[in-house]
Amino acid sequence: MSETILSVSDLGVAFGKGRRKQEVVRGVSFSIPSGKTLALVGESGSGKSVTCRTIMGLLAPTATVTRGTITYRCPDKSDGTEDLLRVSQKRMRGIRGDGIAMIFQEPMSSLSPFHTIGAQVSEVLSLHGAEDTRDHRDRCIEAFEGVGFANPARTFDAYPFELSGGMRQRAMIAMATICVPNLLIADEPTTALDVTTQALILDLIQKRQAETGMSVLLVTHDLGVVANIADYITVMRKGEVMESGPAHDLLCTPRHPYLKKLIAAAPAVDANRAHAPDAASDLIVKARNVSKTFISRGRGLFGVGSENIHALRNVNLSIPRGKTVALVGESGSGKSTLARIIMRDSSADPSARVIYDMGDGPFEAQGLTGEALMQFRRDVQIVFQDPYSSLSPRMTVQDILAEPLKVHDYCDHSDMRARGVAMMERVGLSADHMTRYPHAFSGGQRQRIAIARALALDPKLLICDEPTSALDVSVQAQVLDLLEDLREEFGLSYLFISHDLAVVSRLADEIAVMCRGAIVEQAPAKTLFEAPMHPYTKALMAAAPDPHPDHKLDLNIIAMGAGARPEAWPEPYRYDRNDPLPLHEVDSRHFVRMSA
Amino acid sequence: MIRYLLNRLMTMAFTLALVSALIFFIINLPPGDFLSNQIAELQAQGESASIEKAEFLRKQYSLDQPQWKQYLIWLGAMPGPDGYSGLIQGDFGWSFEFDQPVSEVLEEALWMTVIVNLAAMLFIYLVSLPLGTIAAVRAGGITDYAVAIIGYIGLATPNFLLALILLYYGQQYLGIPIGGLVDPVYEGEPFSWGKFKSILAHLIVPTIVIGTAGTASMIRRLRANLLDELGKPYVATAKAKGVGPVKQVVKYPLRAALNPFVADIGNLLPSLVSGSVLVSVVLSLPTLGPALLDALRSQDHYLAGFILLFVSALTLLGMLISDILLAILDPRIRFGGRSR
Repeated sequence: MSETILSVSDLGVAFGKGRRKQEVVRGVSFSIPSGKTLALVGESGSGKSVTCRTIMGLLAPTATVTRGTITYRCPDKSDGTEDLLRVSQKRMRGIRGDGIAMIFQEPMSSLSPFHTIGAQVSEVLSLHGAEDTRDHRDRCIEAFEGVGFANPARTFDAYPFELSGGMRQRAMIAMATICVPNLLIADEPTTALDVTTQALILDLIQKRQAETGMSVLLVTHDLGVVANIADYITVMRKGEVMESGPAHDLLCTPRHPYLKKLIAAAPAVDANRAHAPDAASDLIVKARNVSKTFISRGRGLFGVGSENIHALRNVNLSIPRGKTVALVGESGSGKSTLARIIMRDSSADPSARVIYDMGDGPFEAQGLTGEALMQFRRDVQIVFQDPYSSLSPRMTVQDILAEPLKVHDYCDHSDMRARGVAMMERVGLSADHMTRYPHAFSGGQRQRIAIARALALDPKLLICDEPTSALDVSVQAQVLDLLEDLREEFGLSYLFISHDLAVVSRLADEIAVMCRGAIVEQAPAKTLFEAPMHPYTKALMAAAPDPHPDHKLDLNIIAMGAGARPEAWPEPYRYDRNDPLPLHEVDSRHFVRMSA
Repeated sequence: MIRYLLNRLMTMAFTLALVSALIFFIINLPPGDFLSNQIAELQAQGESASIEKAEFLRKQYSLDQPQWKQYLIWLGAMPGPDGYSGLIQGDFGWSFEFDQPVSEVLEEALWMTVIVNLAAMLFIYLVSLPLGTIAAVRAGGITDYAVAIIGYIGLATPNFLLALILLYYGQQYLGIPIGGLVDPVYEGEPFSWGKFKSILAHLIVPTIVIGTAGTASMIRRLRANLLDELGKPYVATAKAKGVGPVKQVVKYPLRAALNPFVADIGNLLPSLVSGSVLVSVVLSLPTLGPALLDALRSQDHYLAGFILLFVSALTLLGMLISDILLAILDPRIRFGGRSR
C-alpha cells in the first residue's frame, strides 16, 4: 500500500447529552492511500456522513467526538502528521478548502442562492490563494472550463438557480478542486442526479483525480457507483465497520453477509423478468395529443421577450387494464407533467384528450364535474416520490388513512378504523403503530403508509411517481415487491414513473422513454431491454451502474445520447429542438422517433 | 424593472382609491356629522346666527348631498359647490373642529409623525439586527436567554408606563427634555441647526418607547429565520471552504434571513403610527395619532379621513420600498426565474 494521506482510527461520535447520549459512530477505522479512492459504503443511518463531517470538523453542535484520532499527513508540510481532532480552529480553517475539500449531496441547496457562482468559487481562492482578483476570475474560468462548462465566462456571473442540478454539481467540483486539495471528500455526490448525469459526474471526479493526484473519499449507498470508481471499500453499518479491503476483491467475493445482501439488492436491469404481454385492446386510459406549453416570462432588467416552453409535445399514451406502463426519462423530460395531466391535476393544451374507461363506458376526464368527478378521484390515486414530505407530520397514521374515507364519505365511521387496520396490515405494517406520527417511521415504512393511503379508496389506476427513488436499495426492492403483489391482488393498473430503468424492469409491461417532452422510444419491456434502438434509451441503460467491477460504465454510449440534446444525436435520430421527428413503428408495437 | 415599477405604482393608485372609499364610508357610519351635531347644540341654545353659518357650511361642504356624491366631491372626481376641488387637486378638505383647512391643521404633525416613525424604525432595525443575529448564533446559550428576557420585557411592558419611567430618569440623570418634539423656543420657527438639535434631543425617549415592542418581536423573528438558515447545506459548504466564523454567518445565512426582515417594513409603519397614539398622548407629541383620536371622537370627518388615508399611503409606500429592497437583495426575485 502506498503512503497514507488520512487515517481514521477508533473514531467514536455521539449525539445528545448525558443519559440520552447515543453513539452513532462506534470505533470506526480506515485509511486512505495517497492518490487513491476509498468508498465508504452503507445504508442511510450507518454513520458514514457523520464520519465525513467529523473529518472536516463540520459536526452539528449536538454531536461530540468521544474517542479516536484522525491523522492527516499534509504533503506540503515536512513535519509529518497532525491529528485533525486536536488542531486549532485556525489551522482547521486553513486545511478546509485547501488541503481537504468536500462536495455535498444536494447541489440544489449547497450553493448560496444569493451569490453568483463565480463569487462563491473565487472565495476559496481569496481564502487560500493569491490576492489579485483579476487573477481569480481567470483561474475560476479556467476551473469551469476544466469541469466541462460550455461557456465558463457566463457561468462565472450566473446564479446557482440558473443552472441544472448536474451543472451545479460541476460548479461544486470546480469549487472543491480549485485549490488542488490533497483529499476530496464526496458525500453522495451523485445521489440527487439523473443516472446519465451521474455517469458524467463520476467521470469528471476521476479525471480531476488523474490530473491532480488527489485522494478521494467517496460516500455512497450505491454499489454500482463504487464498482466504477473505488480502489478500496469500507462497508459501514449502524456506526461500525463491517468489512474493508480492495474494491475488486470485495465486490467479486464478498465475505460478510451484510455486503452480500447489499450486492444482491443492488438494482440491475433484468430483461428476463420483463414481461412480454399480448397486445391489449382493453385500455383503462387513453391519452391523445397531449401537449403542454408554458409561456416563460422575459428575463433581465426590463423583462422583454417571452418564449414558449414545450413541456409536452403531442404525447400519446395508453394504459391497458391491469398492466403497468412505465414512463422513463431524465428529470425535466415531462414525465410528471404528463402524469398530472392524466390524473386531471393540471390542464393540458386544448387539443389534448384523456379518455378513461373504468369498465362502464368511455368518458373524458376533462369534462367531469360533481359526483362523477368525485368518483373519478376515487378511481385514480397517486403515490409520491418523497415519503418524508408527502405525509403530514401533524397527523397520526390513523388520521392519514381515514382522511380520504372521510372526504369521500366512503364508509361508516365505525368501519374506518377497521379499514385502516386492514390497509396497514396489507402493506406489511403493524396496526399497533397506527396512533404514531409519520416521523416515527423509516423512509420505507412511510412509503408503505403512502401506498396504504392511496389504496384506501379502492382505486383502479395508481400513479406511482418515482416511488422508490428516495429509498435505500434494500428497501427499494421490498417496496417494488409490495407494489407487484398489490397489482395482482386488487387488479390495479399502474402508471409508473422513474428515471431508473433497473427499477422499471421489475414491474413494467410497457415502457415509454421520454426526452424533452416527447416520447422517443416506446416498446414492450422485453423488447426495449433486449433491443433498444434510440441513442437516448441506450444512454439511459448504459448509465445505470453495475455493481460488478468488471462492468464499468461505457461513457461513449452515455455521451452519445445523454443531456437531452436532440440536435446532438446521431442520424437518423437527430432533429431540431422545435421540430421533432415522427414516431415510427419499427417492429410490432416498438415505436422509435426517427426519420424513416 | 421599470415596467415592474410602473405596474406597482398603478396598483398602488388603485389600492389607494379603494382604501379611500372604505375610509370615507366607515367614518360616516355613525349617524350624524360634526355640523349637524353642532346645529343641534346651537338650536338648543337658540342662536340662530350661528345656525345660519353652520347651515352655510353644510352646503359649502356638500353635507346635504347623498354619501356617494360627498365621497366623489371629497375625492375631487365630481364638482362640488366650488367646482373640482378634492384630494386629487390637492385640497384635503376642511377641519370643522379647528375651523381651518386640514392641510394647515396637520402640516406640523405630518412631518413630526414621519420623523418619529422613521427614527423608531431605524432604532428597531439597528438594535434587532445585531441582537437577533447573536441570539441565533448562540442559540441556547446565556446570551440567547438574556436577549430573550430583554425582548419579553420589551413586549410585555405597557408603552406609556415605559414612557413615564424613561422620561423621569432621562430628565433626572441625563437632562433629556420632557414632552413635545421641539423646544417651545423653536415652535413655529423655520428649520435651523438649533431646531434640529432640539428635535434630536426630544426624539430619544419617544424613539425608544415606540420602538421597544417592535424591536422585541423583530429580534424573535430574525432569530427564528436565521436559525433555519444556519442549518442549510450552503452554510456547511462555506465552512468546508474554510470561511471564518464571522463571515460564515454574515455573508451567507444572514443575507437569506434578511428577506423577511426587509419585507416587514411595510407592516411596521402602520402599526407604529396606530400603536403610538397612547405614547404620543403621554409624551404630548404633536403627531397624527392624537389628532386622529380627537378627529374621530368629534366626527371631524375630513380630518380623520385624511389622516387614515395618509397612513395607508405610508403603508403602501413601505411595501413598495420593501419590495424594491427585496429585488435588490435576492437575485431570484430580480431575475423573475423559478428556482427550479
